[in-house]
Amino acid sequence: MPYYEGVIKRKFKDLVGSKYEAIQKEYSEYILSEEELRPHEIKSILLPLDFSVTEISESICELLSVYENATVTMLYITDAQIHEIIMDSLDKDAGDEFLRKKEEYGTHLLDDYENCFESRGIPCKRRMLLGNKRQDVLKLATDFDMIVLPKCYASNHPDSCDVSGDAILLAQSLAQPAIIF
Amino acid sequence: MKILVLLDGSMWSHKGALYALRIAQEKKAEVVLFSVLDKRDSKSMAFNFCTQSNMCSRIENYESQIWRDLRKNINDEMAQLLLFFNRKGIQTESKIVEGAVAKEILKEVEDGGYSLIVMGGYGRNPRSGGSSLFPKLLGELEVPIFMAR
Repeated sequence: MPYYEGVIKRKFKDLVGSKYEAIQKEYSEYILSEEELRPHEIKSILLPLDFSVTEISESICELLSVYENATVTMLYITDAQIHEIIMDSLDKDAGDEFLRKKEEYGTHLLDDYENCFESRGIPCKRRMLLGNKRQDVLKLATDFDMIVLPKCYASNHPDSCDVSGDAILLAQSLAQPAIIF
Repeated sequence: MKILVLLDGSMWSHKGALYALRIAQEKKAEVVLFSVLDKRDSKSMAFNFCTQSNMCSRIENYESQIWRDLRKNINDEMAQLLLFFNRKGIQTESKIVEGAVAKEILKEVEDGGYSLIVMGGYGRNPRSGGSSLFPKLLGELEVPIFMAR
């Protein structure tokens, strides 16, 4: 008997045929089908990054090398709302300077992660955008098989952060498997 | 590499174990299948049942039966996964402990030298909910957490 079918039969061994199907339909929020129980093939991975990420995690690069044919897309986001507030409350130059500094940091971070992945033979892509750190990740996540999220992502206090609210909310809202590090 | 797989009897945590298997095969990792049984779970399930059914005179019977069922379910789960992992050539150990779930997991991680923790994305909640254990573990642990979905 195939493994997945066996697991389901063992869990619901007192139910047979149409009764099982009826229960599965009624309790579909709780029950996984045979297909859903099977781990997904991981071919595309999204790694959101921002200013709160202060160091490269070699162990994450190592872990992702498990997924041989997967491409990692690194996404560095600068908060558009803060940029706008600076523009409105100060001036355009201050806004541009804010953006320049964040993107300069982002470029270094993406370079370092790119080295980390490429040294392990993991293909990667990079993207940088001005947007909403939570909403944009949720929007883009649908195109990926797995999300890998730094645990202080989008934190305003990266130096003293154990875990950020946005990282928890994102991890709990995603429909894909996720690694939080 | 050593991977801790958290099992709570849900199909999501079972799926997590299957993701862990893939990682263990690639990385030649050692796996520990770990489950915590908390007496408060069977107490709360028995109490809910008694208040909904107006049959509270038998609450102690319900509680001990639920406790037996929880234990049997997780034992079966562990045995099946252990066999499956061993057949795949993965060095695997299983552990079932009793106590408060978060506390016991933190204790295990602290003592175990793990590089990854794997858990179901929803715990025993429906797929629209989230595991309440997850934020607590994330705040306390340095080890990456894999949430299976």
